[in-house]
Amino acid sequence: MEPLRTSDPALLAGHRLLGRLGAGGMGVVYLARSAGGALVALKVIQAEYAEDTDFRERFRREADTARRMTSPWVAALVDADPEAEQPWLSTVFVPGPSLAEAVATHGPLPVRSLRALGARLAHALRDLHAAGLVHRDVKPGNVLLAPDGPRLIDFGVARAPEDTSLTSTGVVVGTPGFLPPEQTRGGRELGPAGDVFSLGCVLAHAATGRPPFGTGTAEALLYRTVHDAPDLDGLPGELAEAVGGCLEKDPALRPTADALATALMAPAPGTPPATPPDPREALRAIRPEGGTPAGRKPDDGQPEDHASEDRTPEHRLPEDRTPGDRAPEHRPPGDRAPEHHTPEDRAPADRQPDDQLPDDEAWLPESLVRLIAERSAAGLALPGIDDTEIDPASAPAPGPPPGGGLRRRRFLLLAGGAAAVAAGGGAAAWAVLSDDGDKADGAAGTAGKPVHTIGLHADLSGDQKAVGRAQERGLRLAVEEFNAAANRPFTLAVRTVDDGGDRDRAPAAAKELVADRSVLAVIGPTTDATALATLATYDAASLPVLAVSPGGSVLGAMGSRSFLHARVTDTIMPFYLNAYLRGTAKSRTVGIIDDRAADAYAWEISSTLAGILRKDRQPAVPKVVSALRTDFGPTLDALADGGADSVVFAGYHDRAALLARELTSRDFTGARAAAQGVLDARFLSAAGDAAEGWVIVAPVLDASVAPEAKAFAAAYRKRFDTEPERYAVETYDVARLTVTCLRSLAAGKADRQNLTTALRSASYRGITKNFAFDKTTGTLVIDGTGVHLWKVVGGRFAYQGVASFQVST
Amino acid sequence: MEGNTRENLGSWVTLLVAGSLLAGCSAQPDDAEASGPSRSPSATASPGPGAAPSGASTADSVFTPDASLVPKTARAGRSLADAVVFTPDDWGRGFVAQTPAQSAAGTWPVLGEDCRWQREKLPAGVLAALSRYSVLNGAEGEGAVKVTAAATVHASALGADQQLATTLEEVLRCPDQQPRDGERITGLNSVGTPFGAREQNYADDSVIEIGSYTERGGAAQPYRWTVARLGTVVVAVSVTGSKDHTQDELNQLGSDALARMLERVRQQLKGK
Repeated sequence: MEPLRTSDPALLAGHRLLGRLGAGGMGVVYLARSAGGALVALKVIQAEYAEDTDFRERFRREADTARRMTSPWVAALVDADPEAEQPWLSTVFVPGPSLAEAVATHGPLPVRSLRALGARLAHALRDLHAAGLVHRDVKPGNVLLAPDGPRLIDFGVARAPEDTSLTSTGVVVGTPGFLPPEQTRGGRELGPAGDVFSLGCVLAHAATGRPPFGTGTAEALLYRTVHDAPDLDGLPGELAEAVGGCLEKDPALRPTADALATALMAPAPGTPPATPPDPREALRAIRPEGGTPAGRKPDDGQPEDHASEDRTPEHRLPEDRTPGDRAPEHRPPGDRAPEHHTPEDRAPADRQPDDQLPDDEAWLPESLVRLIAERSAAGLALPGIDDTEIDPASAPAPGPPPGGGLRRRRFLLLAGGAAAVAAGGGAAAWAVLSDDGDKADGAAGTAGKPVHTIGLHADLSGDQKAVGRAQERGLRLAVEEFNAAANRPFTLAVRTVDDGGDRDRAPAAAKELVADRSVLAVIGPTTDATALATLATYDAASLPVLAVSPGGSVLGAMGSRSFLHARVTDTIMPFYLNAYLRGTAKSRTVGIIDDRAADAYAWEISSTLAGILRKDRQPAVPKVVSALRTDFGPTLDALADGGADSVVFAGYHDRAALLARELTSRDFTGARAAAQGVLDARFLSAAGDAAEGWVIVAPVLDASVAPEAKAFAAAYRKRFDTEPERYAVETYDVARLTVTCLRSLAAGKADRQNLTTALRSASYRGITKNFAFDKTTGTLVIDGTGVHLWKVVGGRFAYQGVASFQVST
Repeated sequence: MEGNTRENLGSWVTLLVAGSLLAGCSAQPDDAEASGPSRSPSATASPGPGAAPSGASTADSVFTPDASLVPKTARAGRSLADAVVFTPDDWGRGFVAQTPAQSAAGTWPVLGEDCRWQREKLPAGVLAALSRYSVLNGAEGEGAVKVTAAATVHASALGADQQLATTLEEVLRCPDQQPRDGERITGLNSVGTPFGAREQNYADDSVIEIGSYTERGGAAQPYRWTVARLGTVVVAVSVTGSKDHTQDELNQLGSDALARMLERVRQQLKGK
């Protein structure tokens, strides 16, 4: 939330403004306290547009739309005055994070959460469509998360299907990347099916962590939406049909919102239903009050006095919709029955620290429940609460309603933190307490805990997506483990940006992280090209950037003051290659093939290796191959003429496979070796049997078998249900290094500059290597650790252990 | 164009220096003669079809020549080389021809197994090669600036590209080389930069070598050899300094010459 600007009034339409939630369309959305003391999202037409009769008419429709909505999964209308001099509308304030933030922070949601999310949003759309309306901007930023389920917000562009006034001028309304193909063309056929398409995009994004039509310019996104198949890589199979159906290009082929809800609630084979048919049933399933849901024993020790509605943040604010709070005629028709909101329901005494949602019944993963709790707590610790209650300017507000004194006191305590969290009884704050299992400690640390973000700048969708996604998982695991500790001094969040491995997209990705002031360090980028394209951006922002997979030594020579190279450079690999070839493999004359298709990566390896061998007065046969050449025959002729009895390939996996096949066809029996550019599953598939016996030297270990990574591997399997992927544990190490340095900073000193200094001065023993950096260049101090051997055995990369840089004799 | 070339030579050097510094920390090459039974590389490039790179070659071609103007015969190749390669006058005021003024027709330089340069008959696939040698003699007591400008016209882009690969290979084999009797080039480092990499935007491919030049036991002078390819044509420039000129002056001299020779290739082949 942004603070108010000097141009913003302190009071507006009987509301005290507390901050700006956003400026969308032609209106500004404020966080405000109503005359009755309720926190609301107050949308106000900016003064310069208020005279526009068309706009006023649109605003009136927006208000009518909101009044007609009664869905529990839509942020409800509180009040509205379309006829006022400055027309305004207020909806329930949902302090939770948006789905966009949740996915960026937590990563892809588990399938159970996806089903609940999808079904409830589909219900919201069903109700909207039943009212004859189309939302037209369903996107992750317009879905807010509350402990009991999502809330669809922002009716800024909602309108009846026949209303095309906004697009008559060709203006595209909505958010590219989540728009249906038919909406990009404008026109009258826009209907409910467009919202279903957008919801499919939202679900795909939540399931994979990536928008299904990628990122980039609006034009590119619109083009891909119309012409390309969505990227659903990673979408759980059981959701493929439902989500894929939403994303049909032809609106007629998409399911209705109602059918989608039904499909999402259908249990996967062998699994219990994720969401009962009726959302209210869903609530009761979580919080049994009357009946006993299947599989739940009445005597399982769970207190039964928490109506699930109490877990929505807005209901934590007792001021909201209390009788007397405002004139009854302003109460929206969909307002929930007051009996759900009696003070007794929220009495602090009925909150027990050991009352915790069973994990298998909560709709979101624990880490997201925590995020909601923290956002909610932050939302409660807002400025101006005292002012609102005490400032004579709020005099027009009626006196506190019955029970108001109690509520206000609670509220102030909440803002103060500590005991207030427990006393306030906010369901979200409550979840944190429960999770920590330590009332005093958890309470003290939650509301006031700063949130620091570690950015991940990665290739999550391009050529190196396997590496980028493994890095994301390594980072998330480290962050989740950190956040699970009750006594942590701050809370960590993750923000990912995907550059697709494209150096032209990389600077924009870097700028996105730079612009987020909560981001104190960035892990990435994934490739040398994207790193080179972004170091200057990070340097200019003094934002520390820790490269895990790029290897170019030039990265340390760019003059960046914020760069940290968390692996040895490619120039170091030849020492290990030399040790393997001349030591283990007993090669007498080393053949070196530099593939110019691999440019600087190849050259660092080949030129350094040639230098090492020359210094050791060892014979070598260096060959440099044109990138235009696809036949390695002449090169191997020359190696044979030179007497080479081994081959080092300085290049990437694709052309290594060509070379491997050529070597095999010649019955070459000598050692074959390469660096990490060949450690890629695509080498195995392209080379087939010819890959057998190749040895790879790489700055990456196999965490699934390396003894030093045993605990990591166990946690990884538990969290992601898969074996650790390459570069995950290396990233985990770097994340923990970052956290260690962050912790070393005194309170109030946790900023980018200080973290850079701390990182460059760090000495940290990780699972994969020891970390220490050159203070001037940020390159890793070389101590022999961090390089490993792999060998192709039986069609797979078999880990051989730590590599040696000394030629054994 | 020339400005771009200078700028990009600068970023080339960044990589080259970075690489050599780091390599130098750990693998200081000594002054030993080139070791090992490595053979003279075959400079013969198969003039096969210009196969598309399957690897990470970074970008589209910088230049699409008018196919009807691309030399296909030795005569056309010689004509193009003659029009492109800098004469003493092209280098600027005060430059005069060395003796000999240019290379023998029908030959090109080959680095032997012994790391000595010698001229050999053009192999198949090479249409023409021409080097012109110029010198700026200093005033009394001042050193000279020796420059070489060269062009090689190939029958195929693959052949031309292989020439740059061979150039890189020569430094791996022989960081110390003997261009002519009494002359030595030592401590060579090199780096190749294809179009699109490191902001190289003026040629399909390029190579730079940096080392020290000594003549008849004299003082070591900076030596720089830059090579660039446009299609089937490879142009190159060397500049051997004197202490009376700053390194920046010498670098600029070489960069300007290379850029202008590339521009001449473009004009001759009228690419778009």
